[in-house]
Amino acid sequence: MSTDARGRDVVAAKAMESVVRAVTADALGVASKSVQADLDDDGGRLAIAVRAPIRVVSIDRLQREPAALERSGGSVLDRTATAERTIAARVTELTGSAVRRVGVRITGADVSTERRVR
Amino acid sequence: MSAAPRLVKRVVRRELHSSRSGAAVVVALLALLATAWIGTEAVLAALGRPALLLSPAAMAAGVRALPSVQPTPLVVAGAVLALVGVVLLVLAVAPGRRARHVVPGTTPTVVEDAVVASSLVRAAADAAGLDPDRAVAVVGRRSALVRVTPTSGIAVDRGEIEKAVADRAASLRLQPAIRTRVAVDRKGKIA
Amino acid sequence: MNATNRGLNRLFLGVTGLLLLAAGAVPILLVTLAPVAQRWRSTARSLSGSAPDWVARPVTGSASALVLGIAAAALVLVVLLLVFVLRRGGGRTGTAVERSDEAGSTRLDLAVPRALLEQHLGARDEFSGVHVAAYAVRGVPVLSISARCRRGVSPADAAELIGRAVDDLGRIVGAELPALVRLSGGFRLGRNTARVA
Repeated sequence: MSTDARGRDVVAAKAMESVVRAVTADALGVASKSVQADLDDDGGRLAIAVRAPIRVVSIDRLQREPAALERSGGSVLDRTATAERTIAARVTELTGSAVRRVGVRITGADVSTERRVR
Repeated sequence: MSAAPRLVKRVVRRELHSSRSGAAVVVALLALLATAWIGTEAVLAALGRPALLLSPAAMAAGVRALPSVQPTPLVVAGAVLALVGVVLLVLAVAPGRRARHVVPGTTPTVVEDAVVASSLVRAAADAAGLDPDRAVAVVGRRSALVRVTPTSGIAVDRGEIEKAVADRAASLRLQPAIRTRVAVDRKGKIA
Repeated sequence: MNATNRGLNRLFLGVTGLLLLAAGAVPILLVTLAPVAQRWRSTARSLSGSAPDWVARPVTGSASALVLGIAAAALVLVVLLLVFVLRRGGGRTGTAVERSDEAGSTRLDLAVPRALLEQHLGARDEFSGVHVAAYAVRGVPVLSISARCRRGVSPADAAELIGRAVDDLGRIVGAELPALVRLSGGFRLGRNTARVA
C-alpha cells in the first residue's frame, strides 16, 4: 500500500539522517545532537549536507606540544575530508543508495585547552 | 608562512591611506539634497503647483539677470564655491596618509602610531628610571620625538635614553623607518 | 579592509570639485571681465526673445520640455547618488575557507579561526582586547585581526605573537589563512601622541 511505502520512506530517511549524524559526530569529535544533517535527492542519488562544529586543540596546546595535532586526528580540513568520505561510504554500505555529493560546513570550533585524559 | 602576499599587500596599502568615504558621503548627500530640490521644483512646475523656493522660470530669470547682481556678493559667492571646489580637488588627489606604520613579518601588520609612541615612551622611561607618565612621544611618518620630564634634582643620562629609544625603534623595523630624537626638559617635576 | 571603491570616492570628489570650481569661476569672471558680462546680457536678451519651443513652450503645467527633461535627469541623479552613498563599506564574510569539487564541498565558518584566535590572544597580557573578522578581498576571505595593545607594549612583540598564532592556526586548520593584523591602543591622548597616565 502506498501509505506503507511512504511511512517506510520516512523511517528510512530518518535512519539515514541518524547514521550521517553519528558518523559525522564521531569524525569531528562532537556530540551527535550538535550535528545537523540534510539528505536530498539529486537526480536519483543522495546529496548529503552536514553542519556541525568540530573539536580542536587550542593554539596554546599546539605550541606546548606539537604532537597534539596529530593525536587529535590531524588538521580540520583533513578530518573534514575524512568525514566526507566516511559518510558517503557508510551511507552507501547501509542503504545501498549511491551518494552524489557530500557537503560539510564546520560552523564552529570546540577549543580544548585541557590535557586529554586518556 | 604567509599566503597570497600580493593580495594582502594590496589590503595593507589600503589600510595606510584614507578611503575618503567620509568626505564622499557628505558631498554626495549635499548633492542629493540640491538635486532633489531642483527636481522637485521641476515637478511642481509640471503639475502647475506653486514653487517651493524658486520655480524653473524664476531660476531661468535669475540666471539671465546674473550680471546685474551687486558685484560684491557675486564675487564672494563665486570665491566660496571655487574654494570648496579646490578643497574637494585636493581631497581627491592628496594621498591622505593615516597615522600608521607597517611592521614587517610573516603576517602583515599595520600599527597605529599611538602604539609606537607608547612603546617608545616605555623604553625611554625605563632607561631613565622614571614613571612612564614622565615621557611623551610624538610619532610622525619618518621621525619620532620623545620628551622626558625628569624629577627635580635627579639627573638623567640623556645618552642612555637616546640609545634605548633608538634601539626600541630599530627593533620595530617599521616601514617607513623612523629616526628618533630625545628631548629632556630642563625644568624637572618635583617628585 | 572593506569593499569600498576608493577610486570611485576620489573620482567623485574630483569631479564635484571641478564642477564647483567652474561654477565659482563664473560669477568672478562676470564681475571682473566686462566683455563676459556683455556677452551674457546679449545672449540672455536674444534667448528670451526667440527661445526654441522645447525650452520655452510649456508642455505640462508651466513646465517646458526642457524642464521635464531636467526633472527626469534629477531623478536619475538622485537614485545614483543614493546608491553611491549606500554602497560604502561591505565586503564582510562569515566564511573563512571554502573548497568544492565534484564530490562535494567543504566550508569552514569564520567561527572556527575566530574561536581559536580569540581564545589564545585574549589570554595574552599584551592585549586588552582582540577581535577577529573576515573580509572577501577579490573573492578570497582574508582574516582581519584587530588587537588593542596595552600601554608600552612593543608592536614588534605583538606582531610576532599574533604572527605565530596565525601560523599555528594554519596548522590546525590545514590551510594557510591570509590575515591582516591591526594594532591599536597603547595610550590615551591624541592621535599619535602618547601621554601615558
